[in-house]
Amino acid sequence: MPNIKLQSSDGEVFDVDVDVAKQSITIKTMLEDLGMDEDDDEAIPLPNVNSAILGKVLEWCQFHKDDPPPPEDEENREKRTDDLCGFDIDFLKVDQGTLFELILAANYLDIKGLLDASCKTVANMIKGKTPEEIRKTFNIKNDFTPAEEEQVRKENSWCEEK
Amino acid sequence: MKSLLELQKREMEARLEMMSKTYAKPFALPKLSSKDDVDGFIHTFENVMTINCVPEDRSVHWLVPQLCGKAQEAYNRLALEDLQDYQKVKSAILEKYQLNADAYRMKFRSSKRREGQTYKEWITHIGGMFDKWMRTSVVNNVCSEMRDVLILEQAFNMLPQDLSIKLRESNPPTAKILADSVSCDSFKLSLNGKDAISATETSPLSVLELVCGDLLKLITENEPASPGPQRDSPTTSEITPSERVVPEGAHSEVVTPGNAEMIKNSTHGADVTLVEKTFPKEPMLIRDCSSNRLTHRLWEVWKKGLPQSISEGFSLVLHNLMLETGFQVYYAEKSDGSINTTDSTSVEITCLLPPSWRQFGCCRFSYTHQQCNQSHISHLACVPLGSVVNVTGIVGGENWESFSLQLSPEEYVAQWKETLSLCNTAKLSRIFKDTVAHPMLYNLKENSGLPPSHGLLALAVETQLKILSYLDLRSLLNVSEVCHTLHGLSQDETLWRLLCLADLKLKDKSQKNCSTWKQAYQKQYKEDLDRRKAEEAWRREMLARINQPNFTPVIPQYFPGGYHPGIRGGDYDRDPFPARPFHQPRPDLRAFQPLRPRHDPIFHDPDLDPQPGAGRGLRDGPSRGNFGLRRGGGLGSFGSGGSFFL
Amino acid sequence: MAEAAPLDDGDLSKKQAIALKRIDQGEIYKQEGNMCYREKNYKKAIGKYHRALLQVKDVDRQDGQQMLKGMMGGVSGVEDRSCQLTATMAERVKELEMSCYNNLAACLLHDTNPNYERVKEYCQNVLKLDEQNRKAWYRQGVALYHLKDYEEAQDCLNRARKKVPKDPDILRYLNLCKEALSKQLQAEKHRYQGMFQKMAEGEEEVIEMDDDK
Repeated sequence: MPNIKLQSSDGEVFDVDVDVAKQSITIKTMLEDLGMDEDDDEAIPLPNVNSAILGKVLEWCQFHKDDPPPPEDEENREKRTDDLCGFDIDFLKVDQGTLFELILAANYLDIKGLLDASCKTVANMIKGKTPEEIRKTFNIKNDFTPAEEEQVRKENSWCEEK
Repeated sequence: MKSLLELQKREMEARLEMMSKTYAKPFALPKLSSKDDVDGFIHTFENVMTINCVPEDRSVHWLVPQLCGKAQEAYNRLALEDLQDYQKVKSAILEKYQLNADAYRMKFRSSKRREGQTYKEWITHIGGMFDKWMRTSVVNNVCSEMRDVLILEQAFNMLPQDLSIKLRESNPPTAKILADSVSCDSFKLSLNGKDAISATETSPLSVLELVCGDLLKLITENEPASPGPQRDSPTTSEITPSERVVPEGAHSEVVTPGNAEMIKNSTHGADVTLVEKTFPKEPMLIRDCSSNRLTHRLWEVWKKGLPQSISEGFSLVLHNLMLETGFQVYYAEKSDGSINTTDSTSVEITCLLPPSWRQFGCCRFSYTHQQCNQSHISHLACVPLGSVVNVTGIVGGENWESFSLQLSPEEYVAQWKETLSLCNTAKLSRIFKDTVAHPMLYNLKENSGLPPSHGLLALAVETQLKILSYLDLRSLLNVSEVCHTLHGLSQDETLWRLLCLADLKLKDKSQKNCSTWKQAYQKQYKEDLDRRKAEEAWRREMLARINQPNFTPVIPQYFPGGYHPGIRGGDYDRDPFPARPFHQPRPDLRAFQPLRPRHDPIFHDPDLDPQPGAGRGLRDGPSRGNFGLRRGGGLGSFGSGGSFFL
Repeated sequence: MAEAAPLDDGDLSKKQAIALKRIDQGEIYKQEGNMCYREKNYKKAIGKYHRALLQVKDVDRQDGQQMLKGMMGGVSGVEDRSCQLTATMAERVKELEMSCYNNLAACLLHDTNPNYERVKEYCQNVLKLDEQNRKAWYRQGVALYHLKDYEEAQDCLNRARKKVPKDPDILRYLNLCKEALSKQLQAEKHRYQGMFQKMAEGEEEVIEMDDDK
């Protein structure tokens, strides 16, 4: 199996299988343009991703490399968050910092599966929480004045669901 | 004529053979096989001739028997008088192999260093190609400085980029000096300082019989290995190339020739060939640590700290987690009175543990953060209380915030005395960072006046929207109450459109005469809610009928759509709420058939009188097929809910 | 490249310095790509252009941890990722992306069996950044022609023509499109004629049958 070299922002080079790297649409496009050549052994620098995160991303890609491609239609699909596979759930049991870094890396490298899984994980962290709990979880400062807060609450009062 | 020529040729050859046999061959000659590099062969042959002082006119004797294949063909095609002329024979052979100027030029331009070939050898090789190119292009005088410049340029072009950039900076004047300066293959590894380990770059550790913990020494070609200061190897640092190659410029152990030191991961030089993953890599973060693998920094800290108890060992691990989050050790005045300034490179390497971290049975660490105001100091305190450790982080600045957590060291630290061994590191890393380290950092940033863009708010807008698109209605509304940014974000039209599609199957907002999807959703939601309430009320009415058969029903005031049932027995009587959200089932009206006589002879109630139909009044229960049909006549259908009205 | 930037980028924060370095590196890759293109080494050029694009992608949302060495850990912990680019820097990024996508389209068209969809995609990326880019319109026209979307192709080629009305390449492709369209029209006519013929025959049969009755 041909390999490809990816270089993180802090200089580490990762030598990975082409099939694993092609989970990233960005890299896949590049390889298709090059005609699947090995690109004469020069590493591909990825300045937006550091080595720890790139390592984790490649770990995810390695596991999912045999997955079928996800269906295209975004809108008609039901937006579920409880359909993460066991590996993803464990994989994403990391501190928030890493989780958000993974989201950014998945966005940069255009890896849909990882982006979806990590966004769903964050959504699950939001679901079922009151605004104050959300603030605490994500360390967000409350910049509403009490009057503004009351107004927003009134605005939302039409919804009777708890 | 031809056969005579042939005969003469063969005679000449035979004579040559004999002569070559007569002259006792005191030296070994290279043999040309059909696959050989002709160029290399001729080069070697000429060298051998030169070394043994064989004059050129005699060289042909020695050359001919070594030929085969194309070279021999070329020789056979030569004219008789040329057979003794070495130069002519040589040029005929080279021409046969098409080794002309162009070929040498291509070889010069495309030659790359082969595996196992040193830089010196490679540069000599391309130098040779260059010379041949010049010669075959009939350029006799190449000024040596120009030659150097061209060879240097070619060498730079063929070297890996980072190496070449570095070397260009060092500005070597000649290619030879360049070759010398790239010293990454000028040493060998050895276990005892004398005998080199015979390893190719791809042999796995098991073949070399190296184990974790072995001390490796360097032997250079210049000096014999001297046993310099030796360091005990931590159990975790594995030697030789891992899958990750560390290029120059990254922090790695300094390797000086002649000085026996540990090499980690790989040599410096981005050019080391990568090997297959046959052995574990050293972890970089605490969450990747396991029982026998630690990060280098953790190991260093443990060695320096030498904990006296499990909670001390545990505190050291937490200290490392803080360092991972970007905090830097701060300790108060040094002996010379200056405060240790936090310079990112020096502090990281030199100071891993403040001197007075252990006090009165507790552990205390102070930090600053490189991204925040350096005068704000944060602290971490670990207080052992029985079997748990109370961890508190306090943030410096105007408002002193604290974050605390209770952890049980035994859950995470398996061994702390002779060595450090951890378990459940992923969980520890996550809990500690989420509860203490990151909140401290975010607070510190706020106090430093930095913009609060981190975590959820640091993402791009489209990513934030993507996350919000997975939320249900209530969660989305909660999010809108968190802060101004999220409030604005949660009003986004696409989000509400998705909700309309998913929850309400509402595809067209103009149905509701609304300009925004959110308004459309609200309107539809309200309508559905009211309808549900009305249905509930109606059902309660129905249930109440069980006990009072002659009760005149109260006509419900609310008729969705403002439709007043005019005709008794119409569809509306049967089903007052025809249009309902898809997910709500039609109430089963059959469930509300009370058990009561169809005909009461004493208190005649025309409503209850059965109508002739399938049951003919003699059977209980609804007659079949009545629900969908309206019987003719003014009294309406029986056996259905319609008879309860009017 | 004469850089008027120093005044603008005067008080650079660390983040902006990193962003600047990335933009510089991106431009270096682009130059190398141009050199390879001139030497007709298209594959290598494609590699260089892609690398250039990777340098400037998301440069305003960069990795803030470059200060800390990877080997020593300290990589998690989200920090301030967003980086305000100065106007000059943003302009350079835009220019770089435009040239790279344009040149990528050009390289792909030199292939023996070009991926016209990809060419179209790259041209559209350029046009998103600059609606008037003549080369992008032209190349998109060429790609659409090969994808047999002749009307759209003509539209694109005409837009490219606005700036250089006499460009021979554009005219040539316009002619090709015209011919192809007329051929298509002929084929359709033929098909429909055939259909009507059959329908007419069918009707006659029916009428005849009725007559029989």
